[in-house]
Amino acid sequence: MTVAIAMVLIPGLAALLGLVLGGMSRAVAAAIAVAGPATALGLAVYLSVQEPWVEPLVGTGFGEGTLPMGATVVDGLASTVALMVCVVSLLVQVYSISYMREEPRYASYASFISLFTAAMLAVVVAGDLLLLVIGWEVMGLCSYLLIGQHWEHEEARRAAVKAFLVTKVGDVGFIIGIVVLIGATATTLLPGAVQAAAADPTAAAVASSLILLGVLGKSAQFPLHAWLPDAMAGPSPVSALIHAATMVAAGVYVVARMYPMYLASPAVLTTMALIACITMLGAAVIALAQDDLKRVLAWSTVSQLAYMVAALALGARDAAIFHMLSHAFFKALLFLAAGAVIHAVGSGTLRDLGGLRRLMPVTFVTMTIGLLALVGVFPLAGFFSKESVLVAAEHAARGEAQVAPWVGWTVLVVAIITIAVTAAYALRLWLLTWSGPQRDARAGVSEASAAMYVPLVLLAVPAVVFGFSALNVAWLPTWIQANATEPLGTTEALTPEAATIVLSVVAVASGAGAVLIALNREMLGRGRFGSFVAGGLGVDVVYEVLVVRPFLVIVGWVAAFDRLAIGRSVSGVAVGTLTAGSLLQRLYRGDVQRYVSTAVTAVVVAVVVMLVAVAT
Amino acid sequence: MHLSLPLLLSVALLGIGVYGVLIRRNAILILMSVELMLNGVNISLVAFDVYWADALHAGQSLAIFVITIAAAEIGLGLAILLLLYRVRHTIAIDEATELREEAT
Repeated sequence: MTVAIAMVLIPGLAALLGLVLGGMSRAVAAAIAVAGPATALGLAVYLSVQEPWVEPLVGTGFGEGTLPMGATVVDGLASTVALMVCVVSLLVQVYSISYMREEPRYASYASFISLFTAAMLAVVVAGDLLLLVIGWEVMGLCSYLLIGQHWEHEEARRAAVKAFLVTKVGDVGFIIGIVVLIGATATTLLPGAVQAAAADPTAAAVASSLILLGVLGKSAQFPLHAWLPDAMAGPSPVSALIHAATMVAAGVYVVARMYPMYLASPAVLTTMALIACITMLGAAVIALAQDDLKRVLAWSTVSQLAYMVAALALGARDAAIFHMLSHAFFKALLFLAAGAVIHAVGSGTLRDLGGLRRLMPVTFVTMTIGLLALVGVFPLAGFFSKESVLVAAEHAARGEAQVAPWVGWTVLVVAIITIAVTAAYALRLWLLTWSGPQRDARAGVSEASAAMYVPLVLLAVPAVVFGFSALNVAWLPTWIQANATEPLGTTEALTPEAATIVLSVVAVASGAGAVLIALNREMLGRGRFGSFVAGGLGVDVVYEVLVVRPFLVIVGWVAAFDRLAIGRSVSGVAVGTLTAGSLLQRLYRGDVQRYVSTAVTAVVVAVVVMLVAVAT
Repeated sequence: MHLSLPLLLSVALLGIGVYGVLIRRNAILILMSVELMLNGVNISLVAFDVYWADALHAGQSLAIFVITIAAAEIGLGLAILLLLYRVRHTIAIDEATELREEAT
């Protein structure tokens, strides 16, 4: 067993142990929950300092012949992302010990988080397509279980089912794409399949567009994004995990993993870029109109993921991964901070918040850092990572990418506008949560416990300094590219450029200024248009009309067929038997002599028939 | 003696027995008719036994079996009828219809 496989199995084992032994006491469950990701983190550190390698395939018997399974690829990309996953998962587990203190189902909750981590790590180190699919699907299951943690509430149940179904729509395409890829390249080894597909434009286009469907579902891109904001029904640490380390990062990561195949199909890249543009700006505008602290952050995740997808579409894989890592840190920080606020106040509605600055100083400072990083203020992580995406767009606009220059221009313009909107909703969120008069009802509100704010502080550190790691080519860029199984050519530092810096600073200033003006005039309430925006720009209505209603009609047909054809035929058999029985019953009147005469007649008839049969 | 003569007697007895079972209402007469049927069969058994000159005399053996069973049957039947008469003061077979199932 290799270290990489062990890194996947240990959180999985922790999940199993947590389910079996977690019932003994909360302390046991918490110890197991923290030990799993902590061990995995140790192994991830070990892997990242090792020389990267590709594990050979291990044959596993399935019926006749063997199916090679369990190959792992641990290059710089995988070990970097694995580190991020383990760090966020560990902090989420530590935070959950305090946050979920009142939770009766803590043991299963912590186990599912461990399993979630294991599944994400399986996707990260997967060197063969089957392991990738397994990890991918287990993640879908875990998201369903965790979003539905509070299944007493109707909202949580609906959100869990919605998340499962919407991502499953994409997963159907994903699995077909994997099968196409295996079929076209005759190998299940991921690097081999990807390189073979990259040499075959048709296979690359078909497989990458099908796999892209799954990516859109998991990474919550238009039109499969609608599950993510509803997933807020889950506990806040789960949101932090889903939005930062697992689920949504998996989609971006898979595209990065299969990058040569995507580079071989410019049409798919163009589609990705346009989807990213729609998602980026749309989600940011929706975030501006939300009334709920966590929903603002959820829509902001959708918007930020679109930056990563856009970077991938423009040929800048390292920029995408860079933004994914920095986003993981500040978004996990924001969700955990939001969880602390909700835990203290008992409500996540922005109307109920305000004036918490003095009461929760640590949460206030760390959340402010997270929001600044989200907006992209120098020198926080978000500034550098977002700049790297903008630079990629600028290069693409100059015709240096696989896609046409107009795609680069589109992404650049939309990304700049989105930065302005991002600044606006982040500032609105900050003002509504922290500023304003301190209210009397806040008397019971106090700072969160140490188990909750220590993860916040620990996440705030990379949210501040992580951005600098990309400035030197020898640091993050080399690390990501280290011994890549699919080399991307020259490695460059992800440094910002003057033009994009100026543009984004202007955008941030204008967005923030607009919110300040609106606040002074008390225009943060919303009319009919605001409600429309807050409802997700009517995407759910479009789903309703285009998908849900036709589906219900078809389901109605199926149900009618079941009721009328199948159900009626079954009950028809029963009714027929009963009718025939009651008809026969009329013969039995208690008249013995009639029975005997019937029997004699039958014997006579039988004998006559037999004689006739023998004679002829 | 030609085989057809005892067989004719046998068929005649069987036919009279079947007729009696089907027509008579008195249970004792029905039992007597059953005896006629059994003895009709006995005659054909013995006749065939002689006709085939069976070394094992299977026909005669079977006839003795039938006589034994007929004796047991008539004893049982008369006992039932006696009880029936004690309870109902009649042995008319068409009035003993309690065990029929009512049509649903």
